[in-house]
Amino acid sequence: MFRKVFVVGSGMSNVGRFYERPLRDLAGEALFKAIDDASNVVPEFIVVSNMLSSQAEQENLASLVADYCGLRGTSGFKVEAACGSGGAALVAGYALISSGLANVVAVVGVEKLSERTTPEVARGLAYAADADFEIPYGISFSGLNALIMRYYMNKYNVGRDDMSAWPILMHENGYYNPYAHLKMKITAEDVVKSPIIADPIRLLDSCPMSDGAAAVILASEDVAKKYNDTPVLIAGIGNALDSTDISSRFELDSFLASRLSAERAFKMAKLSPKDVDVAELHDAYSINGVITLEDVGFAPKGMGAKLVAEGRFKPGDKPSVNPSGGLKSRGHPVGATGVYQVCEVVMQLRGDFPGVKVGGEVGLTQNIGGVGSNITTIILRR
Amino acid sequence: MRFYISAWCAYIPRYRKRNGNSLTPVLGPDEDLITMSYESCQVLRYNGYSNFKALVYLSSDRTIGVKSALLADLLKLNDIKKYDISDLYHLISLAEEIVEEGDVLVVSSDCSEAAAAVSMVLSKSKGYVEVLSSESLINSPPLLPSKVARNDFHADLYLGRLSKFLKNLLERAGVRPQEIKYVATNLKDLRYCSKILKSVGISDTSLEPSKYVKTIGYFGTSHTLLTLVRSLEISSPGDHILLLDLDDNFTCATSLILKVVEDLRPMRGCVNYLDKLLTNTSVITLQ
Amino acid sequence: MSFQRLWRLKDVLLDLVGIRCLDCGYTCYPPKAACPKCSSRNVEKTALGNSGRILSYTVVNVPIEGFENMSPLVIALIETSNGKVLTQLTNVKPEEVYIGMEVEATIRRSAMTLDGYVPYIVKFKPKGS
Repeated sequence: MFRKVFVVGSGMSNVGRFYERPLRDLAGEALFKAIDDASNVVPEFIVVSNMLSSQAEQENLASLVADYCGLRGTSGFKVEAACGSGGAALVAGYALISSGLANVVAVVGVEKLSERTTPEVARGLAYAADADFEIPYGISFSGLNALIMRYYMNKYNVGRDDMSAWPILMHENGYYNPYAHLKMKITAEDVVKSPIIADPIRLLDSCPMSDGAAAVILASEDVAKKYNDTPVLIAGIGNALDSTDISSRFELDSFLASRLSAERAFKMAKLSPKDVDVAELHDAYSINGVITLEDVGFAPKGMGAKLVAEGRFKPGDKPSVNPSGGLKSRGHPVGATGVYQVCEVVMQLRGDFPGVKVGGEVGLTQNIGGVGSNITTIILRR
Repeated sequence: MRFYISAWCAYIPRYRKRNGNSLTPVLGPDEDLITMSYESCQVLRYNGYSNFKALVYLSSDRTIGVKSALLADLLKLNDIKKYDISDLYHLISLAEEIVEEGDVLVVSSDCSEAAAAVSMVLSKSKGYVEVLSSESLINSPPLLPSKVARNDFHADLYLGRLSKFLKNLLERAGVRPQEIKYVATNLKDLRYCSKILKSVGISDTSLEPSKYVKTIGYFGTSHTLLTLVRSLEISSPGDHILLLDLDDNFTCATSLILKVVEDLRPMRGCVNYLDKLLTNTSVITLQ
Repeated sequence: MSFQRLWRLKDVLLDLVGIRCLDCGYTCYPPKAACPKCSSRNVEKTALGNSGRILSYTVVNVPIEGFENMSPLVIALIETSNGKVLTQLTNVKPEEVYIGMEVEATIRRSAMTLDGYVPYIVKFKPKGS
């Protein structure tokens, strides 16, 4: 293998709807926090991840963020992979260091979904699906996930209350996360009473549309200790693609890209699912969380929801899943989420996460783009 | 000039609108004349009728232009002749000519009051229903403005002419008035129609299919063909059917005498049975 | 959905043309330049049948921009003999839909595009209606 890569700094902004904060300012907040965490290092590359900045009429984000933060002259670019942009940007950042092209890289994820009305944002998010063959029918992103949820619930005989266990757990954890967008506890009854977005997905199955920014500083093995006493190793990183349309998928109850990217990451890290202590999975909708539990290898096929309903994966279990509250509670600033996940796991492994602390040696994040079409799995190790 | 009807299919939307006490069939939110016609022609296609020389589209609708070409394109009938006409009078004269060269697909569709589409296949040499004779009566000016036409006086005036016209037609077909089993007509005033029939010698009971369709609604240019479909649904081999199409202004009357020559049961099994369509209890009522 | 795009895709959208791989036999829709299973470029166009069964469906209550007048929108994933297709269901009440229901293809109007055009697209309706 090439050079090892470590995370030597992390920083997050709060997640919420910030009408008064411009995109560059959110990005700046996260980047400065991460740089401070890494002893004021000057990164050689800035990799920005984002999906819908065009709604704020702004592209060319690397230049924007670098200059705003006093880093004019640095190198960089934007990475886009729908809601999986964060993970993909981390792959890019990793490759820059591992190959020897750079020693220190900042990866900044930023998103502002409060720039436009809900139907406009919904249409923008649906661009992650297939433009020619799915959008003409008026299917929204929730609709696509709803198709998969119904198929799954029907095939494995999973009831509404079993599925509700997921968002209930998410809110239990997120309640204590100071960065989280939605801090409230919910009950099964709340879920059933919430309005239907796209049958069977209810409001309390869906993540909120959030603004937010998170950043990490990556450094090569030889310089990592200079910037942080407790650098966290990226032991494995894997990415995989699937079709944009769901009608030509091989299977409807499993994400090929989730399985493949996890296999690649585990292989590189020389670890397996049973070694993972803490995981941050991508639950844009309850069904994504449930299916990826199975695809990554934490639960047998068809048992994901049922195991959560039985009480597994809570803090203290191995693995503890989404102690940050996941996308459901912490929020989903679309292009930034992948970076949030890594920040959270890094803080868990270092012991300084301000919310629910679960600690551990090995952590895993999985960031999904589209309906399982671009997935990055990262394994971190203390 | 004789020709045959070899297949037919009626399409009535599943959607209804409340009209006083009754429910009128109306277009669904994603339907229009073309989609209704397409659906009724699809049934014909599934049953093997796809080799046509021409497509004739009968409708008085003005919102879509060149409907025959649109429909032919959707049905993938590219090398056929296409005609758009707005009344039955034209249909008969046109059909009689083209049917010499090959089968004609006739499509009629309207949505001005009630919505429906009817498609029929006309052939030269064989079919279930034979057209024994056809004729049109043109009433010369002075033309009656539409309001005046409902006047009983004018109706009476034309009664004589229509009566003679029909008697003539029956004679040419070699059919006696008592042999007419069913009358398919688009006349809204069925008492007036009774009077005409009585003067010719046709019994009142023959109006049953027209009465049936009228209770559902008034279907504009497709009304007459729809009543014909209804008559075909309840008739047996050997029955004679009189078709009478009259416009509101009494300017033109077109009439056909048809005879059912073959057992219609095979056809009934594979077309959209009007009965089934109309009595579909799970209709979707729009506001 | 712009006008050019609609015009380009007219045949595929109206005929539901997918692909069949001549090497491994896999069929799928929408059409691609190479087989998703064996990566072979030896693929030919093939029509998906006119009928199928519902694999899964949803009723979209929060429509995307442009589809606000078509509520409730029932969208289904339908399995035909030559591949799966995702389309709207029409002529049906949302309560009547169930997994496994047999449906057949028909042509209906779609919602107006953002540029103001109304395309005809294939939708599925319950079999025999």
